[in-house]
Amino acid sequence: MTLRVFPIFALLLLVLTASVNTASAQVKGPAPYASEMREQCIAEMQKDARILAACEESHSSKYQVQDAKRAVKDKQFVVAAYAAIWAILAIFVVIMWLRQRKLSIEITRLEAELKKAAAE
Amino acid sequence: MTNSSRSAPLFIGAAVACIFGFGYTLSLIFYQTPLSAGPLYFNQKIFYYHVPCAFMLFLAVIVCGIASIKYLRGRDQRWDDVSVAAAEVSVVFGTIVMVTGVLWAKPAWGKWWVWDARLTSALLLWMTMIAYQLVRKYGGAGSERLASGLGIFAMVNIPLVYSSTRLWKTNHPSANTVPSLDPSMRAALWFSVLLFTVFFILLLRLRINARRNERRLYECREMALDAGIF
Repeated sequence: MTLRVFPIFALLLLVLTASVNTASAQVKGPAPYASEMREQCIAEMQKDARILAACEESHSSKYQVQDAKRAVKDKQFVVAAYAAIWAILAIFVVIMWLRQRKLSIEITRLEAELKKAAAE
Repeated sequence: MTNSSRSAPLFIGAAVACIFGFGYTLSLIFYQTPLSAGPLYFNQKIFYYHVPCAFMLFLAVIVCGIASIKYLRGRDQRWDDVSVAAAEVSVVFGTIVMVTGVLWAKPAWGKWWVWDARLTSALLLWMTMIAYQLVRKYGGAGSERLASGLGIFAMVNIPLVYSSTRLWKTNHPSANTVPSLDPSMRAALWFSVLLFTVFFILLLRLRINARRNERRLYECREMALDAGIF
């Protein structure tokens, strides 16, 4: 029984280890590359701590929340604008259709009365 | 077969094409035009209907102005019908331009309204067309000539509205923005313009028919009065 279960257990362990390794590799990202410009950039940033602080702050959650709030607010204005366009056009078309219908009914009625009067 | 019943299939076909076309423009605007090209904020999506509606406002006012000139020269009632119909459609498109403009200005500039040259001249154009409607409704006899004058004045105002961003310093983007757009953004814009043009023609045609029916009803009433029905 143990001999039969062992290969399955070993396979499971292998898959688990491989997936953990892949996940950790994804978290770590690619290894830093060597370049003259990169070193120059790091040296410059080390000269003035404010540059690094500004870079770090621009990626902070405060700005992400600000951007998210703006996106939601913008969405509301866009929805309102498109709704207004369709509402104005729909109201105009409905008013025109009702007016046309009323006119047609009135013309038909008057024409019928005129015909009747002419016949009499 | 009457003229209107002969053109009915074409009219219905154009209306159906407009419905599907507007659906397609929404897909183009919200899924196929990038915001990264600017970089732009989401409120820029209002542009794709705001600008075509502004073009339709100009087109309606030009049609009204030309029809007004033709009416004043020949006193042909058919031109007066065209002028009245175009003026009413221009008020509808003007209202859309004003409402969408205000809803775009708030997120983009942080203010609902700015008294700059473009906005003020566009407001003046819209108010002139509202004045045209008021004169026609409450002006009494002879108001059609005064209204025609207003229609011509509004048409003359269009070059000023269009070039106001070049003539004065304004918050409003200039007309030169369109050629510099991303090709997918330009495609969405011109497709919207094409659809709104077809829709404008449909609305104008409907309104002209209604106007002719109004005149027919007036004539019927006159005849009924003469016949002693009333």
